[in-house]
Amino acid sequence: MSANGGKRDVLQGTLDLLVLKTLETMGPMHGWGIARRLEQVSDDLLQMNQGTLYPALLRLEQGGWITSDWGVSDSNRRARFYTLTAAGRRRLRVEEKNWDRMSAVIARVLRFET
Amino acid sequence: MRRLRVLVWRMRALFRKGQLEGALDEELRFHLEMEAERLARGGVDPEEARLLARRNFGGVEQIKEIYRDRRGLPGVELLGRDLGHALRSLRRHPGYAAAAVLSLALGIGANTAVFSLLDALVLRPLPYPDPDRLVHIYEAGLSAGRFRWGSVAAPVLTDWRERARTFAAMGAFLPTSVNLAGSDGAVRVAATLVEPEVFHALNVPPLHGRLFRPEHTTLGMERVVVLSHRLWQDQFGGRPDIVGQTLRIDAADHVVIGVMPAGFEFPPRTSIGLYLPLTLTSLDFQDRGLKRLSVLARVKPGVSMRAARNDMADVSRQLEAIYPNSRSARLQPLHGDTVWRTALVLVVLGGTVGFVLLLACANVAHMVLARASARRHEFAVRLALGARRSQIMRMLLAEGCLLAVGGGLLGLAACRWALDALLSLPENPLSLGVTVPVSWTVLLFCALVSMLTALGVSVVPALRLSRQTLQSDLGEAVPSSRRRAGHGNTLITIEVALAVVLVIGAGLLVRSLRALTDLDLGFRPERLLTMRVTLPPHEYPDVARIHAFHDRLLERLSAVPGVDAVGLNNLLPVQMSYTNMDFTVEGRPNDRPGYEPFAEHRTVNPDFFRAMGIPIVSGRSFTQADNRPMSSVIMISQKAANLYWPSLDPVGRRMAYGTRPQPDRWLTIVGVAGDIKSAGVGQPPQAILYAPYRDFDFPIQSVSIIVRTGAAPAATATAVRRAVQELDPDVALYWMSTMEDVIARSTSSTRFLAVLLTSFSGLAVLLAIVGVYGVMSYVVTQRHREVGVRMAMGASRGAVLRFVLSRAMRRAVVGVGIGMAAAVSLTQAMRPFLIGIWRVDIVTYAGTAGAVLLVALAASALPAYRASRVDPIQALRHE
Repeated sequence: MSANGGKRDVLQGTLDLLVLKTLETMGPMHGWGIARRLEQVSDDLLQMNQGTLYPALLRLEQGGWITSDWGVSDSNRRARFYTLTAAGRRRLRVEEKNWDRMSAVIARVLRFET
Repeated sequence: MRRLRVLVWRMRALFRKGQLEGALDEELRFHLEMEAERLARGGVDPEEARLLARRNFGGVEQIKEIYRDRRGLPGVELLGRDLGHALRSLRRHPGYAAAAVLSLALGIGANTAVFSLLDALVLRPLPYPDPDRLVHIYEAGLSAGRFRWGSVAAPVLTDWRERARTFAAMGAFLPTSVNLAGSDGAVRVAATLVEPEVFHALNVPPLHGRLFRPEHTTLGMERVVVLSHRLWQDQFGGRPDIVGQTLRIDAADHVVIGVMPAGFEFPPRTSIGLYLPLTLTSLDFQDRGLKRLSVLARVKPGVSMRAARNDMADVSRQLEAIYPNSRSARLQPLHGDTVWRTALVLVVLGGTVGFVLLLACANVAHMVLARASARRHEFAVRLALGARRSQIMRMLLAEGCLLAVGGGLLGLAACRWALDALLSLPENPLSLGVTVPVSWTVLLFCALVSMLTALGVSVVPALRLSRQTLQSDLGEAVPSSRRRAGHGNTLITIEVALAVVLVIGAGLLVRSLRALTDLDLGFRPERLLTMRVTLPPHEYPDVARIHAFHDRLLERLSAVPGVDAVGLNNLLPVQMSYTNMDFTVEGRPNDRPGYEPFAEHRTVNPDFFRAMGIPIVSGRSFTQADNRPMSSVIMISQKAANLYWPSLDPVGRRMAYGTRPQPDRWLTIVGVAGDIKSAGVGQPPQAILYAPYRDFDFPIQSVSIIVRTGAAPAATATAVRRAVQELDPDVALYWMSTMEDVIARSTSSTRFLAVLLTSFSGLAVLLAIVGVYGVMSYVVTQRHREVGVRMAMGASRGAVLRFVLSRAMRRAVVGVGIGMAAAVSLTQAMRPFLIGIWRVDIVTYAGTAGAVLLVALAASALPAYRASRVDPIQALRHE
């Protein structure tokens, strides 16, 4: 348990990867939905300040990897939905590959060390 | 690509800030509500759920701040904030802002106006293709450095043309003026006589029709003319069928063969109406010493200017082998030759307005500084509250920028007005029908000046701020340090120095104008009526008919009531002199090539000296008996006598035209006339040869007539005009004017600069007064407490008064000293415009020093008086 309530910090680039992956799996979602989804799939272990999601979403939208549009949520309220673009999909492939390579390297290093 | 996309996104965000802000709020609110509902569904108390949702989210405001920074362009928004702050800050002090902006507008406007002139009249390339390849070629030795009109003899030009290899075209031209008959009488039009090669060299195709061909320069052929675009528009309404029409020029029919495009003029920067073919006759070719032509040439493409110079040097050496006394040829770029005199005027003017801008900047810088000092406490508080130093500096810079931009915009408006005012000044030597647009380069220049100004006025307070220590300013309620007044002292010195330089400049010009009235021109200019008379060349083709007309003209004019004496001269003294003549002194062979005697050549009637009022120094004047062909007499000017017959009495000695005289053409000097300022009032007297007009066998169709009248010259003008008309109605009589007006026109640059420099130096003094007053008021306010202490300790009011005044005057004296020293070197640039006085004129310098010191004293008197009225008790209680 660390000082910020047991929630682990999410690495910058990793957050982008997770958001993109979530949007690919779940289709268009609003910010709260993405945040919830990330918490659920990580069994609430990987928690973050939900707010940090929004600057990340803005960065991804500025980069053209996702787009946003106002729509109506399940609870019949106005919400902003984010959708993965073709460019986002390509970026996701690249990032996934990078992640795999990186985690493999880290895993190997850790095995040797212990 | 991605970066650009992000940038576009961010820039769009700048303009939709409100909308985006609303969207962000809504999005985050939605998030928090959803989270709270979720928690409530899980059994948490609704109020508790809302708080928990916020905690899960993290700091809402921090997230928003991060989001905003990423959304827009923080730098730009910051700038907007700084400017907004600066604007509010300035609005709180409208008087200060207005004074600063007005001062800067004045300086920037004047600078932009002068730069516009510089751009239009000097920097703008000449209106011909590849103008850098165009050159004047002239013979060396006739004047130092600069090209001089009419310095080449026709046979010399022919030799150059045959031998030179680096020129695409080389041709002679002669500026003149002609009578153009119209439906409502004749008009006098400036014209250029050109050889066809001149148009080849200029390489500008005609707008309509064609240009001269070699056969057009032959006598007896159909007479042709090429019109300028302006004349075609003004006189013929731009009618399309002008080519082929017949015009009556100098009482002869000329067929229009072409029209030049708009903007074409030659010589450059003049307003020439029409172009006529230059016809050289056998007379032109019989003497290598008769120098009346000007030569234009175009250097071949790919040939450097150096190669062209070497080529002409080779040609000169070849010619020296054949004609031992020929002069070597020199080359000058056409552009430089054209603009140098205008450039001189503008350099002086530019320096002047530069100084005015400096003064304005100094004043504004002081205002900013004074305000910055007053705001030390404010800055200290800001710093203590966590503002970064860079933020406060940015704020100061933003204020400077606002002032400069305001000044720049207002200055630009003032510039247009100033330009019109400059160009509409009477006797303005700059514009010859030239329009001066406010061009892009000028706008750029104005922007540059504004930005430099902004930096100039804000950098000093910003720098001082960076040295500022926090504690001392927070602790110190009443600032009283000595060091703080330092900038004020320097400013007084600088402003006084700047004002002194300008006042000295103006003073020198005004003194020149005064000197002009007392200047000895070598003749008596009062009650002289002058005019130019030109005979139609086809009716008066030879010397016999020309001389016969001149005889009758002089006789007729002498009979006009009110006329005392009538003089005739090929060129009017004081106006430019075009004709130079090489000659040989008897008994002294010309053994130093390039140093042969030469002089202006003037043909006169015997009464010329009496009419002009030129004294005969030695010998006698011409008599009627001398005025005949082959009379073999000549007169010379004092200068010629001193130069070529040093320590001898030249009367009775002989000389001959040309460097290799024919043995039978010796001329006997019968008299020496006093020197006159023939080449211009500001010019030194020239060596002159005077010949009786009947003894000179070259047909001179244009002469100047000088009439000395008993009463006002204008009164006889009508009678004189009628007399000429009665003799021959086809004769062109023009440029009728009193000698005094001719002299005034010849000094127009000096007059023009005198008017401008006087106004600008007045402005400078005004700015300096404001500056000295401002600084001293500030100093007195700052040292309020110190004065109070002094008075409490027993200082009298008089002592306080003296204390403040002596402070100001010490700085002013230093400023006057610096200003005078600077003026000694800076007025170097004004030398061509100073007439009859030395540029270190003691009267001007002493007068300026005295006047400026008095002004400084007056400007600091009120602050000093205020200091002496300080109530010591109040001043001390103020603590």
